[in-house]
Amino acid sequence: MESMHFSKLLNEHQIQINMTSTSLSEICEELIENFYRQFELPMSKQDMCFFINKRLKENNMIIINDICFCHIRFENYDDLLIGIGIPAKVINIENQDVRIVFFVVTGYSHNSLYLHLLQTIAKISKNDQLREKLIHAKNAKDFIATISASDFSLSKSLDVGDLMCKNVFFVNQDSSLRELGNLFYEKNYGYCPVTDDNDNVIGEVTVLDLILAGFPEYTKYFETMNFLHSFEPLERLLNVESTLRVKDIMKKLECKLKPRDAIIESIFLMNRYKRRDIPVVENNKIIGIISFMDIFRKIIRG
Amino acid sequence: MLQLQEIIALSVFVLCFILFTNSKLNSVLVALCGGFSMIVFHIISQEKAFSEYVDWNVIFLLIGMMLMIGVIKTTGLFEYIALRTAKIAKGEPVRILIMLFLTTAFLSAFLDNVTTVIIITPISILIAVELGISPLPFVISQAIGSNIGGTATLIGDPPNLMIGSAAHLSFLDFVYNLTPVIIIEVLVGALFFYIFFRKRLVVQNWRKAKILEFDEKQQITDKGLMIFSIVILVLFVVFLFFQDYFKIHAATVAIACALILMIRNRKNIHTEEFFKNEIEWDSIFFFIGLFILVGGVDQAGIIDKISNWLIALTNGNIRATSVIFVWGFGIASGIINNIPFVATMIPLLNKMSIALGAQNVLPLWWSLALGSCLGGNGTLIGASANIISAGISKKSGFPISFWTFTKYGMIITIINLAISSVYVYFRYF
Repeated sequence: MESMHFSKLLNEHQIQINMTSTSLSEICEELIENFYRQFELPMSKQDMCFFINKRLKENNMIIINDICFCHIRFENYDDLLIGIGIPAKVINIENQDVRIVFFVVTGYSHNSLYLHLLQTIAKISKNDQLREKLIHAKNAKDFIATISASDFSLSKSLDVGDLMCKNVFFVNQDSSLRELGNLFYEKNYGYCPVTDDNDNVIGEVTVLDLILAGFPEYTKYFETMNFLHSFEPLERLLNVESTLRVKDIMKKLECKLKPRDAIIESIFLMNRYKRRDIPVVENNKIIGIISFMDIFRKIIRG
Repeated sequence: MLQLQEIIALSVFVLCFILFTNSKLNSVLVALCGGFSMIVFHIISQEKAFSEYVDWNVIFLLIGMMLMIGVIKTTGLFEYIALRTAKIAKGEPVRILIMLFLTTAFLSAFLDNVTTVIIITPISILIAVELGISPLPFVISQAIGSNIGGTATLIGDPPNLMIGSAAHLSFLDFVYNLTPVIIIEVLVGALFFYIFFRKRLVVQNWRKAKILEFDEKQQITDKGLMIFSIVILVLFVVFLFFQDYFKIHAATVAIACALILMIRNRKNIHTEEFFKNEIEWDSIFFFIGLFILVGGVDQAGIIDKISNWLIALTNGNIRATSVIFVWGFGIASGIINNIPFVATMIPLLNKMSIALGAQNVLPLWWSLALGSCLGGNGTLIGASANIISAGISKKSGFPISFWTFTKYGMIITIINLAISSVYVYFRYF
């Protein structure tokens, strides 16, 4: 799964529990103090404090359900720092209670990560039970452990489910080769998963497999077949089309993906097995197909 | 009384042989487990097993030949020969059958039997399909031909390889002692196949014309390499002929030729992939396991005992023993893989050579070679070549039942063994 768990971004030195501060600005200043103990930032500490205080005065922050979120973004800053403060006593700002403060310092190059971070914090704010647990965390480690235990993934990029082609066709194992051929012809696509009567995926078949039905086993031992100009068995394919079933020529699934699998895994499999299409399967049902053209179109030229 | 070591060694050995007869078990694993059990139970030390009992001359001769074939087969030489044969026979099925039988026997004298049938069987199935007749006569006769032809030379069949290496018999010795009788066996075999199948193989003229349409020259993918390969093959055989004169072992000749071919074709060879694909590691490890297994029995002193017992039993009558060997190993090889038998017989015959004199025991080596190689034709499962070619045939939609094969195989084998026993009975005494 190509996603990063929120807890992996947290740093216990940047989490302050039971803060005695009584105002948001004091909390922010303390968190800034923490940042400067551990990191180098593109602005002096004083400037940063001045900057954040100005923002707070302008009410340039977000408060939802006891959680306050404030941030500073720099040009040309390549990192993302999260400071967290939990005041011992509830702070009231314009009739809104603040019990956890998230303070994020980042650059403009981490847009998607930043947006996912915002989503995650929003999710935390909506989860009353989790929020209570976090507020009453015994220490920084406990806080991180609580986040770890819940499912907060920062999806960094798209997964297989986002890119796959959902409009798939498949064929029953008992269909005749003629039906399969018609399907390939009609859909103008050379790959097709094979299913049983309950629509469970049991195999796959390509146009080449269909053509090879007229190409018997013994031909596979030749180095080349150039000595033949015409080949009777190939012509005979037309006759066996209605007698042979898909299950006679299908292959077992060489590989498959789940919708939550990472795109990188799909590329890895395509390269390893030198194939164009990979079925996306969930609970034995085919829910999509991802091909390298999907990846090329939607990511490389997306 | 048997000592503990002897009991263990004998039990492992007998168990392995019983397991070898079960075709569902992987015989390579059986051989390796048996062999390494001998080391684990301290019946034989690892040093001794590796240095004295594993016959590296056999192993590297096998590897060298596999590598040579790996290069040569890419040139299309063998397919060219087979297709050319069919055209020379003018598409006449009986003629094709006999000529391909002879070609297979000839190729098999220089190539491994299995390699030969893997090359020839698919081509003959294709020819039969084009002719609109059943490929079974072709497949069966070629498997049998490869087993007979392989007996002719030192390098034709693994039992010969092992015997030659262990008894210090040269390529020339094999040519002198086995090739004449095998030529007779092959010709008689051809006659019988003619009688068996001549009435069944009737085809229309237009189908024969299709065979003449074959453009076999197209199979030659690299003419330069093909000519080079033929030169190296000839040199290989020439060197084997004079191996005593050059004081050089067969394995070295094979590896040297393989290396020359690989260097010539280096642009198309990635050694890692080439070694993986062309060397049949399964067979190599089977041999290694078997050599150690037999080494264990020998170290435990059992071979000595059997040897003494055998000498007493035969009363030193080598003439009668050699005929018994031909039939005994002939029949046994039809039932299970002949290689374990031969591996066991090698130290035994070596012990008898010491007791009775190497020259006196010589006929027994030839009887062992004839019996174990020719006996493989007795049943469908008697030789790897039979199993492999029947497998190719089955996958191509033409299954061969055990009895269909065995019917013909049995007749040919009985004739072969009869000729062989007459031969050893009169030639050496």
